[in-house]
Amino acid sequence: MAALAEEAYFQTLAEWNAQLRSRAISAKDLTKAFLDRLERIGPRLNAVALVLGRDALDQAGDVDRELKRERFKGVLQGIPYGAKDLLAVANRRTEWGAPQFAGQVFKESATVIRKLQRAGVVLTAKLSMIELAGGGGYRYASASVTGPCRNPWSMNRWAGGSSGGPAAAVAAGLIPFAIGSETSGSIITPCAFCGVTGLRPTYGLVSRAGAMALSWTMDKIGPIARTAEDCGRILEAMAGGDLSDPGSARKSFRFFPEYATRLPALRIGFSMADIEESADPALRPALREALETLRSLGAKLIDVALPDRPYSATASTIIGAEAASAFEDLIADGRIHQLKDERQAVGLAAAAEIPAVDYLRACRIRTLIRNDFAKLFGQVDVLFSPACYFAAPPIDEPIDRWPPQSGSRQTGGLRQIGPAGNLAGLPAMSVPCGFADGLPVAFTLVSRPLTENTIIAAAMEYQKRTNWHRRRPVL
Amino acid sequence: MKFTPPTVISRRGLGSLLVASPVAAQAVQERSQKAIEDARQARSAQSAQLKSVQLAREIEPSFRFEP
Repeated sequence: MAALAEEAYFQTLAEWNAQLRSRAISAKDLTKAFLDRLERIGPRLNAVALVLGRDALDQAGDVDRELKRERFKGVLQGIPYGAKDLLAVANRRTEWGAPQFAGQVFKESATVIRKLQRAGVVLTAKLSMIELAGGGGYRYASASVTGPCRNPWSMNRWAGGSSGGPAAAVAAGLIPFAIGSETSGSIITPCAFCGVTGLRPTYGLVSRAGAMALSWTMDKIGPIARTAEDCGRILEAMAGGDLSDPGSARKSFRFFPEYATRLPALRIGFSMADIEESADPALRPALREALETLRSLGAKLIDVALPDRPYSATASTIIGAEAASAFEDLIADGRIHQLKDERQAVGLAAAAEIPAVDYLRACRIRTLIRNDFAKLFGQVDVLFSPACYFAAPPIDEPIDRWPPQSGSRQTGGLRQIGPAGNLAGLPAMSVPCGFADGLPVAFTLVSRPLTENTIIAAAMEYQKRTNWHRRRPVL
Repeated sequence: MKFTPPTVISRRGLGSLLVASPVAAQAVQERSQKAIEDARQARSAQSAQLKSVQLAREIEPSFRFEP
């Protein structure tokens, strides 16, 4: 099978599905083409943890036999994908990006992996991640056994974390879509840095059974793809109640963007100060234009602000205490210090000392934050903010101190929507909206719990009008 | 097949390693101690931020989103 034309690797799921159903290409040939690209380009980016060549080809062969008998299972059938190495795949290595878990193997696959397998989707690779999903707070992009994940738009820039491998792999066309996870920023940030579309679902909508536990009350699993529509289709296949996940919302998700509120009737909350004061000046033109495009599509823009609360401290206390409990054994016997990033190791060790009253205080503040959002969503349907306030940082700079000499505003407006939205379990989508000095810029849309169709539909209308999500890096 | 010869350490080299390693180990330990102290200070600052929020006694903790 000859390699595909370069632009073909960047097709949407609907485009691949049409070719598979018409048998213009077989699932096996499609899988071979992506396996070849994963092996050729993946190592240059440090985006791949494990290529599942034989498994993928076997599964693709099964799909071809089904397609031949016209047993259609939906738009994802026969399409290769990658999963963050935080998700268990039965009898295959799952190392969580950390040296302590080298060679770790589980007997059962994560619920999400099994659901996608039933839909006929072809798992082709495990993708790299920041060690232990960065729960202790890390200083360098190199905090992973696979090395620093490089940004396909500029190899000396970082892809973001902790789902850097999934975002970089989709951006580079190594895979049509990927599954990532977010506790606080791990889908939205790498998608923004790599210029791909990512969805963080409502807490509990997607089962985490078989995923590495970092923070039981904040971990979410979501799709990373080329378009908002693709994210909706993938979420439909992934979501649903699961008795194996105590945090399951026991809700399914039907992808019906046509029934969501259309942009002309949508009230979008935003803060001009987020763009004009908080964002790096290089990002401002793209963000202004994105807001203007949404306005021109009929959205009603309303200036709003989050109440002044210690969002980052609250999220950090909850994540820290839960992560320290989840990895208590590593902290107790000193293996935590085998992590690649020293700051992450000491961060987790220090988190083990968080007093119970602080953890409970943080959870009580979370109640206030949830109440705040309930009020805010009385005024608006969706919140708009920059997905990140600066573009991808250089790969060897300390990322916890980036950007240097930042004079940007850290509070006010919707500046803290990242930790705030995660604390409240709200869905969010990262949407590419331009470039600054050759690096992607993105905005994020956030809405009420279980209203994913609203943000997906809004992003789909935006992506019909723009082509930022169609841009691809030169590799 | 080509075999790599075992590494040869001269008596002088070995001596300097033996002398240097406790110093190096101490430096690593001091650096780690400093990093732990920094992390504790950061936690302490976060704790102070949490305590600055007025919480009525009846406000219960939210452990997770519940639909």
